[in-house]
Amino acid sequence: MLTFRSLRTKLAVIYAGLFSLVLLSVGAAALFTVQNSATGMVRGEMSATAAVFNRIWDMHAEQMGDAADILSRDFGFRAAVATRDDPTIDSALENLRQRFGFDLAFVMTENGSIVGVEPSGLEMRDGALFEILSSRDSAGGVLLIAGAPHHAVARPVRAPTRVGWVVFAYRLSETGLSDLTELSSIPLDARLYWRESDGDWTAQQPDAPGLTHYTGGETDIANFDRGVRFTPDRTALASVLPIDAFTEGLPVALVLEYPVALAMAPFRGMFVSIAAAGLAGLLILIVGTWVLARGLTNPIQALERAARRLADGEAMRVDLAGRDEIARLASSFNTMGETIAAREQRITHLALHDADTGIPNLQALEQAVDAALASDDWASTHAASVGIDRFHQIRGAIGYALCAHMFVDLERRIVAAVPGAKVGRVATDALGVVFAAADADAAAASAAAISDAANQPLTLGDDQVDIHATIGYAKAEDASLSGLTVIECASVAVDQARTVDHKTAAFDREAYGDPTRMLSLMSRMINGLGSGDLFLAYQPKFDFRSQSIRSAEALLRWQDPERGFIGPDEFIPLAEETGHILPLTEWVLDRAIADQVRMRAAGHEIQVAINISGRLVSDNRFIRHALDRLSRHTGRICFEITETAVINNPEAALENIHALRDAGISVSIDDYGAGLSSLSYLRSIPAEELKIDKAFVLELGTVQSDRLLVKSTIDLAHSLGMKVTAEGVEDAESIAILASMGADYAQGYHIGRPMPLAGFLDYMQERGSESDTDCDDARAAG
Amino acid sequence: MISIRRLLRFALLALGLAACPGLAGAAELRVSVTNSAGEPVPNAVVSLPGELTADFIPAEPLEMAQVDVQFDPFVLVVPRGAEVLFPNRDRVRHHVYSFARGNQFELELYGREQERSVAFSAAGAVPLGCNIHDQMIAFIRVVDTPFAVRTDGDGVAVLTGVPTGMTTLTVWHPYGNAENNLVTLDFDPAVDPAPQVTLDILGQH
Repeated sequence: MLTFRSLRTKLAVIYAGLFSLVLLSVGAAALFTVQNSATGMVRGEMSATAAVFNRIWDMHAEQMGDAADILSRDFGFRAAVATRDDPTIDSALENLRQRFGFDLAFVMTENGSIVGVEPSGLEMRDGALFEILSSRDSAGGVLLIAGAPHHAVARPVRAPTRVGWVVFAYRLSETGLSDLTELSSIPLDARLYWRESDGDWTAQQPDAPGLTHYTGGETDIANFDRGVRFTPDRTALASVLPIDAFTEGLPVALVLEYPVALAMAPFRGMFVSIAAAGLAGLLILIVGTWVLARGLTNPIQALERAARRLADGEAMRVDLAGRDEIARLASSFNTMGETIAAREQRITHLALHDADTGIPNLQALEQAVDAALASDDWASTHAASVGIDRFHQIRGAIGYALCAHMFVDLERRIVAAVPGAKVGRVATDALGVVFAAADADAAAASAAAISDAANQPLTLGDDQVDIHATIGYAKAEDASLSGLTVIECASVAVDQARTVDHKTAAFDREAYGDPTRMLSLMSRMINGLGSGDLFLAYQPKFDFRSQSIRSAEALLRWQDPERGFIGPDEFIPLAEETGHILPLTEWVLDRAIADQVRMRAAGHEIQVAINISGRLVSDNRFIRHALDRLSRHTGRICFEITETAVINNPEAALENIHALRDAGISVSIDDYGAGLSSLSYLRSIPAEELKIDKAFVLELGTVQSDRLLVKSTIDLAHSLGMKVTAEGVEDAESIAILASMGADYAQGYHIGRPMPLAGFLDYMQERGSESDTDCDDARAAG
Repeated sequence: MISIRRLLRFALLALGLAACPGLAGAAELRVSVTNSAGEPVPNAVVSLPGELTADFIPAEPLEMAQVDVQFDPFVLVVPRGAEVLFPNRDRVRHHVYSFARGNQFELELYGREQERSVAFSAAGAVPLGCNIHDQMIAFIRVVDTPFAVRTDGDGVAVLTGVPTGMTTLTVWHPYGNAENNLVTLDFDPAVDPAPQVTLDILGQH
């Protein structure tokens, strides 16, 4: 199937094709009708001409026959023939020949000789003629004389018996035949054919087609079709007329021929007119269709273009005159475009405005930031975040509706305070401000202005509300360096300001740190676990009762080949935030167990304490893992936890601690006194040991209050049934004081620094400590 | 066909010839003429050579009448030198002629009351015609011998007084298909007193 890219071409081609078809059928019908009619006319004319020809032929034959009759019956002529009075015969023949215009006039006598001059001097095959005539009296028809066809008649001369024949003939020349056909109203071709004694038909004109061309192959004259028929090539109409033959058995035929083209010639003008009219019509149709189609397709193309541009987001209208379907389509299109535009506008508005307050939202501000950053003066782009302090309490007090009012009022004030600023709501409790400031001072002035505006009391409804806002602000450069957006930097700055309890703060990139570095730190840490960059160091604990080292705390150390020593304060909190603390602690547990086996192999029965993050205490997965791991281990393991582990999820944590205790694992409360120390939690945790934070121990010898706190804590622990370890013991004096206070264990540089396993084993070797004393009563396995 | 009346007249002529004196002791010869189909041929003239003397010229002239616009008889045997009357017995006039060589004559228009006679001086066939009536054709056979007889309706000619020793017979017929319409036959009368002659007749009449 033909496909068109243009409707116009399609219409033009289809209409032109249809019109051509109609034209062709009209032309074919006309041709058929005209040809039929012309052929019919020619047939009629040929039949008429054949009849006329026959009549003329008969008249000629009659005329000659009459003349011969009269002559042959003339007494004087008969006397002349009978007596062979040749001069008389000659003169009589010549007389008649000239009178009638015969070509030949002669007498053949009964004995075969010829009398009478042949004017043309042609030789007579008299013997042949005598043969023809001897058996009969009269003859008439076409006779070949010296190879040329003649129309001849022969009449007997009786005196009174037959003494000879009078023969008259005129030559059937080609032009003579043509003269004959001139009687017809149409110019016919006449051709003479005769049959030779050998049976073949010969044409008078040597270049004429054979007779069978006209008879359809028939050669017997008795079977010739007398009617008018087409020649096999249908170029001509022809009629075959049998003609009297002088010689019996050698028939003669006349062919009348008329070319079809000639018959159609009168109608050629008509066909030319039809063709010309058709071509003109076709041209008009094509042009008309083209113009019409343009009227049709132009609006469609306009609509198509408009639709495409509409798809690209352009607002488009197509205005078409008229009330037809296309105009209505255009009208519908316009309505659709307007509806889409309105909807898009609403969506855009919704996307860029806060639903509660109707002021611009974070996206709108970010667009403003993007626009500002795209300008040449991008470095002056600043953002501030106005964080409403104690927002949830305010909202709880005044309600959502007034809260929205509050933001609207704040926005107005800030816009008034900082001309050119763009204000939007960037969080539930915060407004963002995008403004330009040439330098840090200008930015600080703007921030101060914002702060002043935001920290004024507001009148909401009938009530006056005191609001306090913290302002953080940042410059464009901060954003590019920290990987945050400038608005996010401002939000971070609010947190930073609150942390230091300022009303206004600029974004502190140093304090914010580098989050990407943190993440890479974690992946390095996991790698370091396998490569040995992370290892356990053991710090010995001195048992006052046995005066020996019977336990040690396992401390995680990280010696990174590139970054050097990385402190636990740096990566432990991060591991807790990112969830890496679980695999890390599991690794520590495995490592400690393995190390404890080696210590035992070296002859030292040491209880190993490992630090367990507060999060893991309430993490059932870890507890299950630890219990499973330790059920197959016989060494003494102690879990050091902080009180905070119990604060977040007391029930689960306490349950897990009990489970550990039931499994024979010691639990120790670490860093007691450093954070929030709750007596209620202290009571509820079933710990066996309390470790006093080194902050109280380091200066035990000099600070009286520390001594009181340590002494009372030791007493408190003992009264709750717990042993006490003092951390941070760095001198002999502290040892003595702690011993006097009744502390159970001491830990610190004075006893021994944290040492890798090999160093710890050496240390133990040097001390030559005995190994048969228990660390505490609660141990089950030996 | 030849009418009965004409046949009677022909028979009388034959009898007349046979009664001539000087031929005593002579034999009678009966000749039958048939065509190739075996049918009898009348109006054939059978003759034998002989010397024609004045005695054989009939005293009364012979007659070629015109009756009912036909010649009568069709064939008339005439001794050379004899006179033939051409009586017109029709109401119409006739113009009798012949272009026969030596016997050429022309009897221009004449009626019933007008007597015309012609003497034929040359032996041979004389075709007779009428210039007015084409259908009128007759033949006069001028002979040089006393022995010449026309065949009757049975194709038989009886020659009387024929001297012995005659061995050559001549038969003429106006339409005989032969040279000068003549057939010559050698015969022996002692053996065959009634010879048969077959003549090819052109089917013109």
